[in-house]
Amino acid sequence: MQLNPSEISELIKSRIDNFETNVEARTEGTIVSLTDGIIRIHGLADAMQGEMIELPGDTFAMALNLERDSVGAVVLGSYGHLTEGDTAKCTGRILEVPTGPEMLGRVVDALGMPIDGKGPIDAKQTAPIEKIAPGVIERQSVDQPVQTGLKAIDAMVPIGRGQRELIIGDRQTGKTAVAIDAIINQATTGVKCIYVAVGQKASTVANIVRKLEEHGAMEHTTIVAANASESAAMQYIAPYSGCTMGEYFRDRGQDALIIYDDLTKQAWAYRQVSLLLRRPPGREAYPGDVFYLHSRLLERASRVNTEYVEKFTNGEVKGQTGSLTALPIIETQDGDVSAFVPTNVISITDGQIFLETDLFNSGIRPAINAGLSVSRVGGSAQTTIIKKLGGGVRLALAQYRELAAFAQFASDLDDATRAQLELGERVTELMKQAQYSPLSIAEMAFSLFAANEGFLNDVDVKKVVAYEGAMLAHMKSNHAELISQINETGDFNDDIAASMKSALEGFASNGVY
Amino acid sequence: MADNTTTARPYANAVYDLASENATIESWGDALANMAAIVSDSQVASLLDDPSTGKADKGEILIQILADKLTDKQQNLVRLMAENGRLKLMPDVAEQFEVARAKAENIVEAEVTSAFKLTAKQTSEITNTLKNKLGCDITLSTSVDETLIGGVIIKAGDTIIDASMKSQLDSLALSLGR
Repeated sequence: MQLNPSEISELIKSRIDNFETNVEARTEGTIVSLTDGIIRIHGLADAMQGEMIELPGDTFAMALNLERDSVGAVVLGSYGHLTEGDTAKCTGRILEVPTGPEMLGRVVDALGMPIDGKGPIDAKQTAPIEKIAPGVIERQSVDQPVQTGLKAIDAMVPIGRGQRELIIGDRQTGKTAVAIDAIINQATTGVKCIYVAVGQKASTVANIVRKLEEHGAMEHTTIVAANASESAAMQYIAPYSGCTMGEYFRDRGQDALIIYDDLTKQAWAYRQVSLLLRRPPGREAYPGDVFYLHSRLLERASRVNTEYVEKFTNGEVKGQTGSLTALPIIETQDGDVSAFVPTNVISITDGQIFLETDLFNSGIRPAINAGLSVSRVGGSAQTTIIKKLGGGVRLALAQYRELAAFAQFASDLDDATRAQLELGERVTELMKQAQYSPLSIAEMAFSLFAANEGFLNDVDVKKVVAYEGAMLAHMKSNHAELISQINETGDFNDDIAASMKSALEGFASNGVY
Repeated sequence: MADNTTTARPYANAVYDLASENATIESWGDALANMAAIVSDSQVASLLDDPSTGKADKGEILIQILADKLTDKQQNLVRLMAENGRLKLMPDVAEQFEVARAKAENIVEAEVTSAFKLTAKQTSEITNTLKNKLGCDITLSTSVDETLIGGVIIKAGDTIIDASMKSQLDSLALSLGR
């Protein structure tokens, strides 16, 4: 017989001693129907929208439809033991999840209960999963970068702290890989991460946890998992739960990054719940409020000013701004970005990273389409050096795409065009980056600088990746001081340019790759 | 059922308005209770379900059963509900009528379940406390349930005040089990 640590006489005694019996008036109703996890309750005249309703067997439901004579609610978790005629009690509370630094390093379900077998979470606070986003006065403009460690993103579609940047693409295009790399790169930046997995295979989530642990990224990360086998209600609320956990850090003057993987499946889960609640279906059978479903969630990602943080913490944290950056993921079907949910989320977010199957299959990974990917606010948040050097890369790729399509028909090309094409090919190669190997600002700067200053022109296209690897290794061992200087300040001036140029010339004359 | 309540409410409200205008609430209350009892009878219920009997006929049969106990207006209600095929809702209409009546008279029916039989003093104490808390007159009905072990459960409308030993033990068990 196995005893659990809470079964010590002293503990039990103190718990019985401190057990509070409070008699309070509560409203009670009766379950009149139970269909696919949706219960209809007669009575409960004063139930609130979104209120937790207590059911027999330590089960809870969330009230969603308040009608004249009945309440429609969705059961959170299993509903096998419920029957018609059971009593349902109001709790007077909106659904809450535990929050705080204790959640970091843990894997939890949509209600914040641990599912990683590492014992209970000793969280000091709880917060409601649905909160109103900060208002206009409480916000501050986005002007600090979130370094993802991916050259292609940090140079071309920069993400700022407090931004919402959509990652969109078909299945198997590396959407999750981009997000995981971004989490891994936050190990040194102090940004807390929350990864919300909605409707994914449990094995996929387990893999992600293992990869994050391998790269030492679990310590600053919480994973909220509502797997494919869990009820639609759990998949529907998981992003809100994760957002509440992220807001804890934002409101206390820290920075957090949240990834919703993915909102398409959340919209499916919500569609199921809505149809079972008999709400009228609209386009693609989604209910009328599917836009609000995502807009109210993504609006909570924001950068808040010092006054907000100071007021929230009652003056404990002063002079700090907080931010919650959101990277929602949307999976498209066959590249169709004009479907209902993708267009909605594109219009809500501050830009998108567009991943394409063709690019992925031709070996360009991350498979970012540089033409369609944009960041509407990230430019002002970019590190100076990356901003100065990244502009040339973006331009080179844009011109390359235009010429490449045209050059397919022409056999004779003038020298200028050929040079442009060759640079484009090399830059495309240069933007490739292996998974789980984020780059620092200085490393990125060296790669971009080499492309801008023409150091790649003498390198064979097929050897660009090898050149980059050897060049970065050379810089790290021979010019560590310059690297750390760039990483610390992020500045770019003539002196730095000159020393970078001489370092690259040094590598060109005696480097091997 | 929730849906029946919704359908029955307009009938009940209309009847209550009519009754209060003519000061015939008592008579309407009795008539509705009688009709509800008859409609709930299994033989009558199967007759109402029988598709071969016409809608109007079903109404006339109900009127004949109650013979001369119904006033003209009450007979008209039966005919109207028969025409709309809603005779089976009679119990719900009666219930809603009583709700409207209790609301107008500011009376709440409270059910008290206790582990032991309550003394007259206890009953009057509970009545007075409830009167203050809910701000209306109380008609109290009591029953005894020994499984409560101790204490009482008071049920007034949707509101439940559970002060029984049983529920406290249940919640203690739940909190220790966590």
